[in-house]
Amino acid sequence: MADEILLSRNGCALHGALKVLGAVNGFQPIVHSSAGCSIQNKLASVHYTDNAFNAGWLETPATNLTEKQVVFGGTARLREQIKNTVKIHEADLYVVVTGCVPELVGDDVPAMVKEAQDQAFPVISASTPGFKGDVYKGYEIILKSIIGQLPQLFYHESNKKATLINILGVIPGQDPFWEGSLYELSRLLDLLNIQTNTLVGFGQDFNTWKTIPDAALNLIVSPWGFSIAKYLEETYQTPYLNTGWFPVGTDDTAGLINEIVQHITVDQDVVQKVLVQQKKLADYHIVKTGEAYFKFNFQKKIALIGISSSVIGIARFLYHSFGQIISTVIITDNPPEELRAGISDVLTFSERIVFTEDGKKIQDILLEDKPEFILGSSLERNTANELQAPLLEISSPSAEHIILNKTYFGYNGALQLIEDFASLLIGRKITQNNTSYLNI
Amino acid sequence: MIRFFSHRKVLLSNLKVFSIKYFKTGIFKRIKMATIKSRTAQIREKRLQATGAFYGSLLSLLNEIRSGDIPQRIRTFSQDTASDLLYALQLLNTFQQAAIVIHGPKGCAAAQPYFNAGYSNEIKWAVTNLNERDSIMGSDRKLRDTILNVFKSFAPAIIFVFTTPVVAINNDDVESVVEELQDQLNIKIIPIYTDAFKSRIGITGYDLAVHALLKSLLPVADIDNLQQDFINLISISESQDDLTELQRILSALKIAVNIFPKYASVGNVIHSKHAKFSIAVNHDEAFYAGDVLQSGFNVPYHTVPIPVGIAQTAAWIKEISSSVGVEANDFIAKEKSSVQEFIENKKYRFQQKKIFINHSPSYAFALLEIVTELGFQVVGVKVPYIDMHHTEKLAALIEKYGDLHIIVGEGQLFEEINLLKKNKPDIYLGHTINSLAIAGIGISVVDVQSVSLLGFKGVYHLVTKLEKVIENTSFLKYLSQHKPETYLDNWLKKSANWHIKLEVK
Repeated sequence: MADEILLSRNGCALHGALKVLGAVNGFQPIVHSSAGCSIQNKLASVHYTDNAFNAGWLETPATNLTEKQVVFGGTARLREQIKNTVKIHEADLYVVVTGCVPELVGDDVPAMVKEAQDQAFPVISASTPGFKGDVYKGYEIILKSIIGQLPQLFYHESNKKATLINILGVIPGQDPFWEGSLYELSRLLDLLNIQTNTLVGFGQDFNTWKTIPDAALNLIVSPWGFSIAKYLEETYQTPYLNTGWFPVGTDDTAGLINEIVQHITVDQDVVQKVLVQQKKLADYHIVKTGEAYFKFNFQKKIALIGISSSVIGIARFLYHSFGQIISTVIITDNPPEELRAGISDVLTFSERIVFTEDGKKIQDILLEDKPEFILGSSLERNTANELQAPLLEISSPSAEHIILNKTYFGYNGALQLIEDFASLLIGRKITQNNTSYLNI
Repeated sequence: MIRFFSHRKVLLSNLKVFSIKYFKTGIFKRIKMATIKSRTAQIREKRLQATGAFYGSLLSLLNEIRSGDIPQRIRTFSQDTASDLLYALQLLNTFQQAAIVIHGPKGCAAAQPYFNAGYSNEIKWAVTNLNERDSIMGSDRKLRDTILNVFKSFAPAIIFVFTTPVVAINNDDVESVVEELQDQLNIKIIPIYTDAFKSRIGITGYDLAVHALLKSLLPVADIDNLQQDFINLISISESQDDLTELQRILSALKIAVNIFPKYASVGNVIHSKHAKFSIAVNHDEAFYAGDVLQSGFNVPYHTVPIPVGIAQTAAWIKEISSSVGVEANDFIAKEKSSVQEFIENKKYRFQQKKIFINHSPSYAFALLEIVTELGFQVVGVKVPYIDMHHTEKLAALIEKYGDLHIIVGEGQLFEEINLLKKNKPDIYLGHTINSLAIAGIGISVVDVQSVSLLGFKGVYHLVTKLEKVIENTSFLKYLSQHKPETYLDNWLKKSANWHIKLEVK
């Protein structure tokens, strides 16, 4: 059942595929569709900061199908486009991703790809028309397509590495902190001598993807990686750990690490040492916030809006460690029905948990709930203004900020979250001029 | 923004100004009323012989246009380009009290948060969210539900329904749903027939939007000849800053103006038929609306150059003031001299610097004149499209500046980089979403998306911005040192028009 969506925030399957392809060095998408599909995706990121590699910022090769091809088919145009793309864009892997038009017209895309493969060009395809699903579905389709087709193109002798982990479920740009979170997770695991394939973002390329079968564990950090983990389990016997979200703060982060090290053989002494060190440092800083916390009355009634992988961890930290009153958590990435009970179970402290991507419904809930502080996207800006509540951007679109490597995940993330949360509150107090600084 | 719209009598109302001299533009294809009655606007390729693919000299382009039959070219390799849907959305998203319904899969509305962020988060929109089943079984019910929901949730004054490729290919019946609900809800519901594949010229989307808007809000039967003392300023793609400057000028001259369709209300559109005459900000975009008003409602459409640069701004003001019968010479002289003085003091910084221009045709040609006057050497021009309206301007430019390289194409960064690598300009002056790629090859970018170029103030803005990019290039150097290679050498060595071929019909 797919109802209409007011004030929508999620793109389509093609966009999910493009977000992944633009975030892997050496992967080159070729869009087979009518004009405008990849421009929509680029504009959706508002400030284009997710375009990590060439494929993301050099304008996407696209067949820009016209009426003639709608009527007579677009395979010849695609053949021509593939042939010329490999002469213009340097890449390790070219991926033809389809939009709605060729799928409705019935273009035989695999045949065109096969032709290119016969000429020894590394080209594969993925069927990603917008009517087939949303940006999250597109993530699953593109991962499965690449992981499934790569072995046909490149021989790779699988060689299990006991301390290598794949991280699944991160859709570049759907969470403004996606890259920062991946970076921080890699940094933490590196301290435990565990290596990570984050698959997307900094340092990720064709070679990373070739070694996906070598991993000892697939870690899933959102609702959107489970089907890929199942596939990898069946094909390469890789076990998976489904944690579903990025933890924030000392307790939940330690919980995640302790779960991971149950599946990976590492020196337990090192683990304990790292956990203690990280916690000490975080606690040291967090405590410093105490004076301002009470002086400026940081305890607020809070609403959070965002995708499950980021919003759950933030909500839990704000409740369990920062004394906030969580009135509403709105999850915007449409997790499958069967996962929703599990999500609600880790958010029992919230008065209300809603699953919707409809911006108007979100507005109505907020206006009814009247939170004093909103953590959401820039689509909540007007509602926040109406309620005179500060808005901290934690989900996409985040039009008011440029976010590079920032994250609220982990130990350092908790500090960053507190800094941003507190600065917004204090800044408002100062501009409202209702605090006396000399009232000692 | 406060719009200076008023019905009060303004100074002299000299009705003699509507003479034929305003229609002296070269080839001037009129939009017949039969056209506005048709379901949707004709694509620009057919109506204006517009083309979106050419690379060569200005002179050869001019000769092709003059031949009266501009050959259509296609690209055998292309990069993504904005569709008619995006252009139509860009325009009507700013319509006051409107609700936007995008009738298609979710992805067709993906850019809405971007538009929304640029418009104070005030846009109300919905997407019908078509899925595979809808693409097979049809989507009438979904469209109906969405319109009802939008009506209930946003209480809009007007609803625009944008069609998408899926709906266009399936030939879903949008019209009957719209007509039925229009009666039921007693509200204007206007379908915009965007499809992303009929035209290769994205700004056809503007025409589709304007056509639908005027057809619905200005029925020809309502002609009443009740002329009032104001003029229409037809704005299609201007920013709030752009219009603020033009309003500053017009209100200094006490000329009442009705701005539409950008940022307009239903009232602005309906009242446009009572104007003394219409004038464009940018003729390339505004012509369609101007001509509909002229042929259907006897509101003359005056063609003037876009008010970019000192000379053209002065000409633009003079055209309006003399038609209205207002004295503007003092105002122009005063503004002109202060801008000129400002420029004279800056010129020495720009001498012999090489510059490349990328903008829509009227802007690009106006910028060419400004930067040449500032002392720059123009090494190339890129425009997204060109059509038969541009004949005279091209001829005048060639006469004045000699021949030049021109690329016609929207987006198509690969061609641009190819040419930029060869021409090596110091500065890229353009309207682009590819600043990073261009800066990445070591060229300073002046992205005019955030620089208002209109009016006298526009000249200040441009010169100030040019000064800054010349003053400190540290970030440019940083980017160019840390960005990987762009395109394969194999491509960069080829001629930029390698992939532009004549279309085989």
